Amino acid sequence: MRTRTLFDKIWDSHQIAETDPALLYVDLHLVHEVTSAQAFSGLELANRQVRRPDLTMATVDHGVPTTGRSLGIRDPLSKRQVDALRSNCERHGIQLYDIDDPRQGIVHVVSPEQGMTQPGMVIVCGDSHTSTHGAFGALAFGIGTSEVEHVLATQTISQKKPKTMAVEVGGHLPNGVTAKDLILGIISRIGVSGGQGHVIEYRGEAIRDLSMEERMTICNMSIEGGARAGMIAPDETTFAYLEGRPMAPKGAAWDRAMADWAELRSDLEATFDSIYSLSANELEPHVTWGVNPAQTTSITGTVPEPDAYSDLAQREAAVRALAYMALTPGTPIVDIPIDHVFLGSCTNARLEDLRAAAVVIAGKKVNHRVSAIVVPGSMQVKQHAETEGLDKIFTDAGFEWRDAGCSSCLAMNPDVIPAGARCASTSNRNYEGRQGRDARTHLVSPAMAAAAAIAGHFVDVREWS
Amino acid sequence: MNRYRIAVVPGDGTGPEVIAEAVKGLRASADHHGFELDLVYSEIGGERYLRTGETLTSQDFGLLREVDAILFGAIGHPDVKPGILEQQVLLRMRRELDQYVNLRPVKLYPGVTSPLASVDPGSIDFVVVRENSEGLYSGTGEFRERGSDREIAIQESVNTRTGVERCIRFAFELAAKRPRRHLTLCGKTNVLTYAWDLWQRVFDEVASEHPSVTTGYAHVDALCLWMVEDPGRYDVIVTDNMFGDIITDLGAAIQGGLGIASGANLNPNGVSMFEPIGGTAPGFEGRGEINPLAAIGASAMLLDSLGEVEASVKLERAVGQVAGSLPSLRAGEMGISTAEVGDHVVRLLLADEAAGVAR
Repeated sequence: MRTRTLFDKIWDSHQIAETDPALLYVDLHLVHEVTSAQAFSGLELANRQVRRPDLTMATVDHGVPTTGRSLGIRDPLSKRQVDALRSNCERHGIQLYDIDDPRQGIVHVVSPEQGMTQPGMVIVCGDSHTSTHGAFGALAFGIGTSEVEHVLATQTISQKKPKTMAVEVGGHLPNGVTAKDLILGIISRIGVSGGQGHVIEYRGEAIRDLSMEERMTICNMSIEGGARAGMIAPDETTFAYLEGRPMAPKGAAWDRAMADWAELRSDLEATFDSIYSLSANELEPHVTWGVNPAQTTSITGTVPEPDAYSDLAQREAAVRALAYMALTPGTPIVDIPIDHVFLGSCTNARLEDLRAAAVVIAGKKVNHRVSAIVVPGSMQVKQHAETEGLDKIFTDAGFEWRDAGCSSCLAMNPDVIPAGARCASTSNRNYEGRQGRDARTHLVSPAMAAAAAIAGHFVDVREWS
Repeated sequence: MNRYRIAVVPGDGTGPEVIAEAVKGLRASADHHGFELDLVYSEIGGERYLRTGETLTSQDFGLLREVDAILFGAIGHPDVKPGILEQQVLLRMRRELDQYVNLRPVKLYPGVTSPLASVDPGSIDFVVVRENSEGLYSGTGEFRERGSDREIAIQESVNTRTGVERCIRFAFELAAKRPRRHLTLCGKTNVLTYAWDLWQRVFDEVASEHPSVTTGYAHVDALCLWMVEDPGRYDVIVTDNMFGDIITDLGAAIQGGLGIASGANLNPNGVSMFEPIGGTAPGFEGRGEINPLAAIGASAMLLDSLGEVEASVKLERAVGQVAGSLPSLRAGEMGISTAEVGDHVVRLLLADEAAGVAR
């Protein structure tokens, strides 16, 4: 029998017919208020039902406010979207974690947290960062609105088979260097199109060392490296995370699942279409200086000189990026002043992220020039954090402690970064205008964002006392 | 989730300002319709030419050939001798990428003032398909006895069977997709008897393959008259390079001016380029007063070419709504800034998305 990668195994077990493009069965369809609206109305126009409401889960996240929720949603557009999702879910019998539900949150945080995301699944959602769920050894990718309609109607998705890429990370992440720094490091090496047309499997010692939440951070940003999806083979860490979660299998079903999941790894002799290797030992905390996640350097570095790029396109992109970011080549990264700090998003707003930031800021005050907010990834994360007293640490330091949602990551709700302001953000995208018109985004890890909030500029969190 | 790689060429003058708003529209569409955009910016234009002496480099072509589409602002620079950028950038790009169709939608949105006093809003909605690679623009001709009293300058109109046929085929296919399914051939068969004989023969031949499309013919002079007196009669107009150049400007005038006029240079089998046709508007550079609607409209056309039809329709609709709400479409007279017009379009786009659901 031919050797297969983890990806091949999931693909083969979900392929309904040997066609090109293939038709895949979908085990879990995640829905939020922004990309689902058209899909539901399309369904109704065609007089069709949702094929498997029991395999469909919805939450509100993209446009919801993160403050004053008891007053309802003030923004009329967001309100309409949420109202629509509510009535669509009701009509079709879909579980919705609504704005007042204690489980509400960012779709990519809620599903793993509830134990819905499981190894070996095919998971889709009308959102780029669906790749997050690959952390569990699932094949998870974003789909467009018309595809959302297709999945609602048929529970299947038509897909061209992607190529496979292995990213092998040896060594160990040094102290103060996080999963966020690792994925930024990978993207800066392979480039924003480096993973184009591929599904990445992250492997190696440094990956095995990661917690589930860290693995989610890695897989989440696969899309920023151009890949269709990212995945990590499930192991004891995965199983320990899942056991006992509300939607995880129980009893005999759990034992059967464990037996199946144990098979979910690339065969020893399996070959990938491409392989990229790096060592975690040499990594440092990263800060993006430009307008894509590959335009990044380490905290000890400086804003680059565009002429240092031999490639014309890269040089021109650097010139543009520096103009937008209002940065001068040669400026040490630690000298860049910060106006806003956003600790949130599907990349970095889980409990461990909040803990990492809280350690840095405990007993300190946010710099007087900085406005800083914490937006937990879900209301569950928020609640757990409050049980641990993290909220107190944040608010004492001068952070605002918000309700869960996508918030400033993409500024679809009121949490917009003002024009010209510079934001240290734990999110995943830094293109022009992402966080608000003319807002300048620097992507960093939670610890780095927290340290910047206190200092008022970037600092090397490894030297933080 | 589809992923598209788009080359963005903001260019000179007000190009960067309007392209920034077009990108805003593209990004919002991507977020709401679930597709990914990789935008690759290029410095092609007068500024770079003055700095480096380069018009189009092999690296530029490397980029332009490998992307899914090109979003183009405008190029032209007061310090660059006229003709250099036009010949060595615009025409060369068009030729090398074989963009053989110039597409110019002409639509009068409700609320927009047309210089035509008697037209009803909504009555002007046609598309000009202009042959973009040959005709009088092929550059062939000669001088005879140059400098003498008997000098003759001959400019040749070159019309190849291949060139004419692919343009006409494109026009029929486009017309077949539109609700009215009507195609008008605009020429001058009574005087330019060689070129237009070929056009007419090919037109008739391709028409027989498209029984669902009704056809008509107008001499270019008559068509100009009707475009002013009764523009509502046209759906798709196909014409050659020279006539197309003229009637598309007339089209821009009756739809409310250059502020709303978007166009595309298409290679239906290759890489196409989408642009506001207004140029660099040097007097308005850096003032935030230029109208970005033409550029945003061009990005809507770009989405259509990628197959993101629904996203395209929505974006274009939002452009139309904003156009109708502005006191004027002219630069400096819009009442709000360039960026605010862009924000307004995005806002309406989102409202439209939300409305789709709530019904």
